[in-house]
Amino acid sequence: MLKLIKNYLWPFFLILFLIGSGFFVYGIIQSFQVVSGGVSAEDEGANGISTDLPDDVPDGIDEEGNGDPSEPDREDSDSLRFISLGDSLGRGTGDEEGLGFSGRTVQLLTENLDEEILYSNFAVDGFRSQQLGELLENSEFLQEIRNADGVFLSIGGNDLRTLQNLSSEDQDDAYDMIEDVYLETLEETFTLLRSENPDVLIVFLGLYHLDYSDENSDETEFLLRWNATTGRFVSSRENAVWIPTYDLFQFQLEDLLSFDGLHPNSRGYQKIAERIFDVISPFYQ
Amino acid sequence: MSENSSSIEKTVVLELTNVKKTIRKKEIIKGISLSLYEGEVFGFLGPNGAGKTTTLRMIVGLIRMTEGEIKIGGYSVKKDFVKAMESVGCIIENPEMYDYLSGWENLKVLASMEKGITKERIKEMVSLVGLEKRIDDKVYTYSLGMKQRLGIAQALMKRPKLLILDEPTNGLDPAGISEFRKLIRSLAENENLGVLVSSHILAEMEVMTDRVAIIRQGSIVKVTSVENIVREKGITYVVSDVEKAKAVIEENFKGQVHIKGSDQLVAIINEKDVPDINQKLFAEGVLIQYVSKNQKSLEDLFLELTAGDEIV
Amino acid sequence: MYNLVGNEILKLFMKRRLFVVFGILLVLISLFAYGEQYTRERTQARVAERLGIEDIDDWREITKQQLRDLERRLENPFIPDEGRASLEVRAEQLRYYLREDINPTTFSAGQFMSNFMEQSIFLFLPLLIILLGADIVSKESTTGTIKLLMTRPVPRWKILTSKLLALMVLEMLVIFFMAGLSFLIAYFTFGHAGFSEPVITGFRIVNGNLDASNIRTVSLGLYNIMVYSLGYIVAFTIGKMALMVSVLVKSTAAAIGIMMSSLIGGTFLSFFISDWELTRYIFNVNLRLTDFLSGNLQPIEGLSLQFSVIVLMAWALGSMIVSYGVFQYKDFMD
Repeated sequence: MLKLIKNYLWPFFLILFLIGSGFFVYGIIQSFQVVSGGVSAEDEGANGISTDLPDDVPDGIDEEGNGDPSEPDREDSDSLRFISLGDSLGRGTGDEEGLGFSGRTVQLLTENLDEEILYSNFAVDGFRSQQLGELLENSEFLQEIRNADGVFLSIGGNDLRTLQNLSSEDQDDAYDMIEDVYLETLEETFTLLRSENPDVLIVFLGLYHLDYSDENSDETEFLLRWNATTGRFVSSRENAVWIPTYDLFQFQLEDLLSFDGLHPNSRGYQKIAERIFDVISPFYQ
Repeated sequence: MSENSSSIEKTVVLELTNVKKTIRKKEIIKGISLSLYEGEVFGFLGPNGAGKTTTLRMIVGLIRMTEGEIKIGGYSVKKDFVKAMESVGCIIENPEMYDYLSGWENLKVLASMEKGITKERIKEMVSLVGLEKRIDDKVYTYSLGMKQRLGIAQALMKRPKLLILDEPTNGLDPAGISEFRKLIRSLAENENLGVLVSSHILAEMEVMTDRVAIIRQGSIVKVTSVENIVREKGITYVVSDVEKAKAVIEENFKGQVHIKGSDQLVAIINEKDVPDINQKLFAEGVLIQYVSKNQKSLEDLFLELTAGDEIV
Repeated sequence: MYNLVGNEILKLFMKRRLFVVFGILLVLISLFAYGEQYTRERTQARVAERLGIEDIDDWREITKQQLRDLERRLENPFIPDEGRASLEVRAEQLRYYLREDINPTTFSAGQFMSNFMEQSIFLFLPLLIILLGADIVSKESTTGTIKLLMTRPVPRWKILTSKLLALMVLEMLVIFFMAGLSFLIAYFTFGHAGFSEPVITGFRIVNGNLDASNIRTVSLGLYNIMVYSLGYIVAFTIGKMALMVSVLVKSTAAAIGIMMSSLIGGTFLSFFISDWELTRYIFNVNLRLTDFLSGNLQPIEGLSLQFSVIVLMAWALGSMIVSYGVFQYKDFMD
């Protein structure tokens, strides 16, 4: 046994160990390359899959999506400037590709208009109308608005959702109060936007409903009232358009919502974007 | 007697110089110095907790010394551990071996860590300790005595200059003990091996060792040769005139005489001279009432020096 | 040194603990393979029922349909890079299944191998290494044979190094045994090796989100080499830590107990205080190295393969420094 182990097994293990070390060093290097996105030789040879994908995404989109307003580019008079303001829908939450309806609309515009489009997204998840108002007091934003050719605005969903915490008896009274405050704030916001930039097109997103079943008729009632009021408010302004989404989601809610059951997925956003594109593209031609 | 005087010219195989060990601010070993020569069996004697085992472990490098110097065959254990350990064989406390290996495998594994131990040498050791029949069995089937013998084979196979044995006869039967004693003595005498033995069995020490160090509370109280102890036994005389007797013995027989009482004296003399002394005293007119040989043994000395500390 | 390591290998072999480890592996891999086969069959039956397929050969039609869908989606030039990459690799996978005539709902031995390591890397593999390594010094202290070793004319650091190297060799042996045995058992259970199958990998974590822009396929063979290499990193680190505990503690039972409880306790800790900044420096949370390849998100933010490997190496290095430091100056009192 001693002879077997010391004279044969141990040298065998040693050789195995050395070979194994080589293998493992190779494996570890490969692992590092894979996670750091480097191209390994074996990968290309064995499977022929190229990671160099065709770069045919429109170049015109300058994604300043981080919301950094510090570098307004006033000289660039040839390009169109779009900004997105408001809540998580304006942000694009739920979109697997992170674009949101505004980003997707810009994509469609870039594709169809022969112009360069600059786009910044300043929307913040969870924003209510008053928070948007506070944000707009920042003078840097006003600069952005002055340079913009179009503003995507999605606000109000979170205002309305505060109703859900109340009992059904209180909801009626509360609704009126919330709506009053909302419209007041919206009025201020519109006045501000107009005073800074009278020509900018304001694209305002309507609300879709999360539950189309009969059991929640009260909620549906509130939402429809909200949409009607807001729609009338927006549509009555110059250079402003209210985009309904209620009908878009009505029969295919599950297919268009992301896994959180609240925000649209990429397809939902794409549908909204297509509708917006149809509406606004004549404005820029 | 003549060997004793010539041992000074012999080579020192082990030398301890002021070795100290402090554990948690407590000085366990308080400066031990000793020299061990070729061909000498040196005994280490002391009660439990006196520091015997700690000292032995420091010699073989199991415990680091706090201060001092240990040299084996001229090499410092601290600075030249490998060189120093090349000439030491040892069994520290129980002879633990790898019990999942056979006796032979144990010896092979340990031999492979040393230089130049051939298969023949290992076989020779196995037959020396009489384990030929059981050497291929797993060690866990061995009795304590067999493990002890395997331990001896392990310690001797490298042809050490110094052999260190801690309580070596533990677990050996009486026949085994006497055999072992003979083996140690013959190794010391024929192969010029220095042996350091610690034991709590005094009788064993007296028979086996040339010199004994008595250790108590971390220091050596006395180093003495067995011959010295034998000499110190002396002869007790009860005589009519102690002063005259002392003068007569000292004048004529080169002995030391101590007066112990009004009629008693102890003469440190060669036993062979006793009839002559008796005759001379008689001729000088000293009346001898009583002559006897003293029975002072190592044990008496030990008890005297360790002041009644418990031995075992 | 060759001789000393050989001695340690001999001891580890004769202690039979290695065979216990191999035995545990044999039983567990067999059970795992059986369970996998059972769930696969049930899923297949359910899928077939839902799609209304009677014949299992219909998989070609379904796969072709899926591929057509994917290719149509790829025609859209406005798909962003990362979306495109994930569609591309999925399409490539489907093409491979059609080309090689492999039913994608069946399981290959190669897939089983990587699955087994991915499931074992954070608990089972460390446990095996602890069983092997935790008593490598402490067992000799318990039985007293350490005195035999330490009184040879060999310096202390060499003794410890020989034990460390022997443990490293056996760690590799355990990994090889895992790979070999899981392959053999899976090959008999599932029927084909499938090493050239494409596997999706190359996920990254950017700002706490899974970034799929770099994903692509590698062959299952290469994927297995990567997964088992990462397994060895874990085995290496745990081995060093077990050695350290073995040096510090005299009793084998205590050494195994300490290692086991820190392995399991650390994992618990990482669950409860996952937002604590220092949590990511605990070795436990960094053991799931293969998740970076397969794209499973980590519970702790700020982890990456590089970070985790560096943390594990730091633990291994620290353990080695403590082991050598203590062993070199230790007094073997009893």
